[in-house]
Order: sequence, then C-alpha cells, then structure tokens
Amino acid sequence: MQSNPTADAVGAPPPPKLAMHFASLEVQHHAARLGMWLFLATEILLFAGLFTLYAGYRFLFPEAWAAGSRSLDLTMGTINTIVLITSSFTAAMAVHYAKEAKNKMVVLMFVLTLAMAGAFLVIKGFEYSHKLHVGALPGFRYHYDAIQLPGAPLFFTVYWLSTGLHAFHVIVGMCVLAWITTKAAKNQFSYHNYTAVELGSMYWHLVDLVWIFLFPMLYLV
Amino acid sequence: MSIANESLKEEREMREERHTGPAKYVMVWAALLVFTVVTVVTGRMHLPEWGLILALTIATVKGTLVALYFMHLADHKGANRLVFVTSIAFVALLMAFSLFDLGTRFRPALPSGSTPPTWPVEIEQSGRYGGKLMAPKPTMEQ
Repeated sequence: MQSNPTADAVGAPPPPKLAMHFASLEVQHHAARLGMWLFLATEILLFAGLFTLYAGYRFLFPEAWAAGSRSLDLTMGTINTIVLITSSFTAAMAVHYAKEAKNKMVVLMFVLTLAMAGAFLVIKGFEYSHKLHVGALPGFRYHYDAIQLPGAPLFFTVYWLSTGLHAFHVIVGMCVLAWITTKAAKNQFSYHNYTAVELGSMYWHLVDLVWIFLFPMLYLV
Repeated sequence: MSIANESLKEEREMREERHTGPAKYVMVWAALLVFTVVTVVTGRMHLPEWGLILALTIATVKGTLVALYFMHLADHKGANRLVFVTSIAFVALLMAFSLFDLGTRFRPALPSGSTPPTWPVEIEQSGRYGGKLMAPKPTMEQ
C-alpha cells in the first residue's frame, strides 16, 4: 500500500494502490472485475427465482396474467424504461470520463444518473399508490374488483415482489453511486485507477438489465 | 503466467476502448431506445402466440447490448465471461425444468382454478400417475 499526500495537494489524482498479494495492477483490476461479476451472478440468480415464479404461474393462469398485465399503466412503465436506459447510458459515460481523469464530468454523469434514478422511483411510487388505492395488493390482501379471476392475486404478488426487489436495488445502487460521486468530487479517479467507477457502474447496469426483462414481462405480454 | 497475460490483455482493451468508445455508448443507447419503442408497439398489438417470444427476444437483444458494451463484457476476458454465461445458463435450467414439471403434471394435481394451455405439451393422461406410466403387467411364470 502506498500513499502520496502531495498528489492531492497539487490536484492530480492519486496513484493507484496495489495490494501486496497481487502480481501487478492489471491482475488486481482483473480480480476486482471477476469479483464483481461473481456478485452480479448471484444477483441474477436471486431475480431468477422471481422470474421462475412468474413463468410457472403465468403458465397456470394465462387469463389472470393477461388481465393483470393490461391493468398496469403502460405509459408510466415505458417512461420508466426510457429513464432507466438513459441513466445507464450516463453511468457508462462516467466510466469513460473516469479513464480520462475528468472527475468533474464523472460527477456530472453520476448526478444525472442519480436524478434519473430518483425520477424512476417517483414514477414507481405513483404506480404503487394507485395499486394501493384500488386494492391490487399481493396475496390475501387482494381486493381489486376490476379483475376477479383465479390467479389474479398471484399476478399482483409477483408484480409487487419483483418490482419491489428491483426498486430496492435501485435504492442500493443510488447509495453506491452517491458514494463514488463523492470520491470523484475529490478528484480521485484517473487512467490508472477507475475500478470503483467501473464496478459501481456495472451494478447500475445490472439494475437496468433486470428492468429490461421485467418491463415486457409485466407490462406488455 | 497465463492469468497475468489475460489480465494485461483485458487491461489494454479496457484502456483502448476498442469496443466501447463514447460514440459506441451513444449508438448502444439509441439502439436500446429504438428496441424499447419496437417492443411497446408490438406489445400493444397483443399478438396471440408470438407476442411473448417476440418480447423476450427483444429483451434478450437489449440485455446483450447492455452486458457487452455498457458492462464491458466485450472487453473482459476468460473467467469474467464464464461467470456471466454460467449464471444465465442456470437461470435457463431453473425455468425450463420448473415449467417441464408444471407442464407434464397430472392435471388435477395442479392448483385449483388453473387453466394451463395444452400447447406445447401434449400428454396422454391414461396412466396411473397421469403420464404414460402403466402398472406392470402380471407375468405368466409367477
């Protein structure tokens, strides 16, 4: 581990820190990416359980699934998809600027990402409040008069669980990106050292990736 | 030192942004928006049989774009790709075998009120357990 306090004083990004158990910085970066991919794989498998639940009950209750899907607000869902894809784009641009040591642009890109993440949650909140109002709630709390079909409570159970878990990931992702934004504001990232930006951005892309599948499954088909 | 070589190669590709310059990001972003419009338009048509397959295909294409270019899987090497592909393979296994189970089960053993489609699984529920399994025939020797 090495530290260079003078680097901060002149405003240049600090040199990367090489842990002693890695042969080189390249191997360390490779290992960091591998660790992130392993974590993201567990996240994918976590959502896979809910996707399987969706597939199984959709097979058993096709009418309830069609009716439930059509009752969701497609406009809000589409806006949210566009918002999340755009936030993923700005997160990718943040990695690009981190490599060029343009920390101010990294901050700007992540602030844009966070703003869009906030917009996503606000729109989601409107949808949730509407569902609460009409009684489209999961399981035995279901009392939505417009759809009275066998399996309809199951559709909304899957809806609340999967969008809820996804929204939780959005909140966690926002915390991670906010933390990395404070590091970028301290001018910490450069050509040699952008692992935090890259991995934080990867987490955000996973949130986007899950939504790319959830959106057509719940709102469209 | 194959690991170190692989790491060097990955490092170089990430730095050079061979696959993922800012112009690429803009193109991927535009493609994702176009695919979103396509999936919404085709989704609203409520195509009877191909709607689900089409929507999932579009989602897979979008997901692949995000993984390859936004998540830099196109630049990453070896183990990183293996981890991602393996997790996707296990998701497919989990979903496929859960559906095989539900699709081939003795119909009265499914949850009450359920109306599963007969397509694509054609089962002859003539056997003792709902499948084609028959009780063993008594043999003459015994």
